[in-house]
Amino acid sequence: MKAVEAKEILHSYESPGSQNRSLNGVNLSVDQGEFVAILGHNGCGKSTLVKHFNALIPLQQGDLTVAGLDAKSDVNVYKIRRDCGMVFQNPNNQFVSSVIKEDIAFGLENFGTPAEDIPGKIAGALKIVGMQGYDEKSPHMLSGGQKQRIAIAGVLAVEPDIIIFDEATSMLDPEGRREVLETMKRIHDEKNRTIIMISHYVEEAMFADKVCLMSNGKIIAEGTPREILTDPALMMQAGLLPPTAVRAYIDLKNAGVLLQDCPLTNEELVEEICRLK
Amino acid sequence: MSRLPTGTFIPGSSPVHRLDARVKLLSLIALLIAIVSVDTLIGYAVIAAITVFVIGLSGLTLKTAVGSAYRMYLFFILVLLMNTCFFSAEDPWFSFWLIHPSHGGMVQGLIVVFRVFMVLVLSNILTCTTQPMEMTNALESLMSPLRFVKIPTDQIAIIISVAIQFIPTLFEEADMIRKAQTARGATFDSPKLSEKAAAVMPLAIPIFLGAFKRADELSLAMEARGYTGVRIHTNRKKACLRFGDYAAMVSVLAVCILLTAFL
Amino acid sequence: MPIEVNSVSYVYAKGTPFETSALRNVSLTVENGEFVGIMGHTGCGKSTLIQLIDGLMRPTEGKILLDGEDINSKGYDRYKLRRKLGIVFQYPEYQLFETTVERDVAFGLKHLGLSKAEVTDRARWALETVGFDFGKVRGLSPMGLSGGEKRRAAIAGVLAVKPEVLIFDEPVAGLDPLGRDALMELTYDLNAAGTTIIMVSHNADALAEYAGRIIVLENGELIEDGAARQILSDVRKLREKQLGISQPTLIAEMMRERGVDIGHDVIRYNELISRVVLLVNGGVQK
Repeated sequence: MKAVEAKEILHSYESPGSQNRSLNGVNLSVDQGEFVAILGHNGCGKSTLVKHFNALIPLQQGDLTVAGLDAKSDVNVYKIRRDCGMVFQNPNNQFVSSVIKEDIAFGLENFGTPAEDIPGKIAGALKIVGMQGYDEKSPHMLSGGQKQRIAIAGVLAVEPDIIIFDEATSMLDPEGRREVLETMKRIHDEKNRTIIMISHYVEEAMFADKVCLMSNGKIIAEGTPREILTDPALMMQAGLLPPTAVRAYIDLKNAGVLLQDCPLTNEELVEEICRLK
Repeated sequence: MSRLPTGTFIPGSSPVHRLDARVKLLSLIALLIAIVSVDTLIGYAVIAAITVFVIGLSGLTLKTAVGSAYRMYLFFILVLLMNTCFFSAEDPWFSFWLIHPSHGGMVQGLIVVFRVFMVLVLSNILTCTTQPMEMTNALESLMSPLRFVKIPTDQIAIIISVAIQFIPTLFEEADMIRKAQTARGATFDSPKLSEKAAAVMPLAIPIFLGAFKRADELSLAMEARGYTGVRIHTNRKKACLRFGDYAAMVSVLAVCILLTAFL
Repeated sequence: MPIEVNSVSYVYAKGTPFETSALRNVSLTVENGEFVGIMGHTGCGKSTLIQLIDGLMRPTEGKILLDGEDINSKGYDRYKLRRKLGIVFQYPEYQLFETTVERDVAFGLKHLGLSKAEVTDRARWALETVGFDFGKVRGLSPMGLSGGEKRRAAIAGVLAVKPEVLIFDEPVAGLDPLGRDALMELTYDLNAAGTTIIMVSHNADALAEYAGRIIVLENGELIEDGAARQILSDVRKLREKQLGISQPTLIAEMMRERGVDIGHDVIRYNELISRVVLLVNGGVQK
């Protein structure tokens, strides 16, 4: 069973039949346990797309199955949201309570978790995100990275199969981004969840199993990070800059210095340069 | 934040802090009723004494407890003046057009000012000694009988809870907007009334839009976490009232009944 | 037009239980035409510092001088300050409020006493500088623009005054890579045309490319003030203070660890490329 199976999804924020579309026929398939990064410039439709996966946006046209459930059916909305959680961009606009453990309990209560199981799940979720002991504290006292980790804990506690990170790092400082990315990796590696990450930071996509590039409401390319991020023409089409190592490879080539392989990461770039010497 | 919003919770372990929030809320209501019903000098004195007693018990400084009420001094002066001049009493000092200041009017003004002041101070003590979460739970608990008359207490409670925890964020944002517009030459502290009125838009509109945007994003996050409009409290163990709570409640009720009946 | 910050301290919520010291005894000078970057952890006092410089708050101790005058002294002409200094806050798009883009940009010009024609000219100049087609955008509602467009419109609103000093607080936060580049190019152009730029940023790559001088704050204290090249290439110190390090600097350090030295002062991308080319072609660098 695929985690997500999307076929020809169309969407417009105006009327459903309008030609002014934010999604122009998206086809995407995500396996269980996969870590997928969806990249694209602001306005390409990536956020609109993933909001279909947890049924926040009703499906207008196309087919979509999430965790085996048909997204067209209204009856499935509640179940889809339990199996597919989402962490949002703004760390401040995700909390319902000024006490962390109450906030984490919110999701658990909504999905009918028995009362006696709740404290254990809260503790477990806080442990995974590295925020043990913060139960009684207020989220407002925390840094951006810590707030996002609490938000992640709130989503994790319900133990969804799929977790979507909708530009979850774009409002954070470098330290916060590092914290959240590490947490993301840990959730994927240790807990084997399916992770769908939206970003416009190409460096973050390097850990993914699969990278999808979106532009103008369509997925224009799909492949391993290496395949996608080392192709500058593709990246330009998506309105993105390739990673520093890739740009260096091209600029060095233009200056007459040819590296053996196109590097993806800085480490590989250094490896290639040192090999020449 | 250069100014704290009035009535913020100030941590402490005084007897007042430790009282159950429901008791505090009900006591406040009882005292409010008493304040409005009392009309003898002794009665006012008793109320003032109770207030001072509670302030002492709560460990708050006089300045903190009275804080927000004091800032309304202009309002109080206005009320006093209005009552003095327009209250119909026998024996005015003089009469001019609609204005007829009198001793009776002044006394009436003082009474109104006293009542409002006491209400503000007592409410302030409540918010300073009670965590927002406790308050919301207390409100929800006390409101629950209303469910039988189809009032959506669950939704009201969550609205209050969410609103309360947004207060610091909204204040900060308002502060930033004010600074950004000031930096563009807007004047918010001009003495001219026309300029004051014009200054509202660059502040009010971004704040409203910002608040709506937050509400929008938060409601999306809540939906994503399975909120369907009905709050299921599987883990809400009702906090038991302790002896101290009962004692406090009974004494407050007794005093208020006595005040209302006899003074 | 120098800005002088003399032994400035700032304490929030003085006298309440929530009293916190945001800045302690900070002194610095900014000369005409400089491009100064301010770095530091969240909470180190950078936002407080720029708000004090722009006269939006009064220091608890110390003085802020503009052209030798204390901006907080009695009788100082506040409008002079507003004419000379412009500040772009984080996520400036949130401050848009007018019915049309043109009106919003013109809001900052009210106190300048310009004629209607001059105001329109300024608005045109400001909007075109940030990359808009004036004719197309002037009558649109700011709320209908995209996020990136809103930000540019908000910046135009600050530029319209043609300030001599522009202060930016995390200007590229939330922008995608092309948007980031475009905005940094804009600040570079403004600086090249004579505007002094003070920029608070986490983005070491952006500051490395454009800033001439870097100031580092930590816990309200100024701990570094010097040439960008010197500060941004000191990898050990940057790591210790947990500050951002630019990609070229990181790459150069990794190469050094492998025994390949292209110099200790590489902070910019083009330098990295040219040094590597030199190295590979057998040339001697530095």
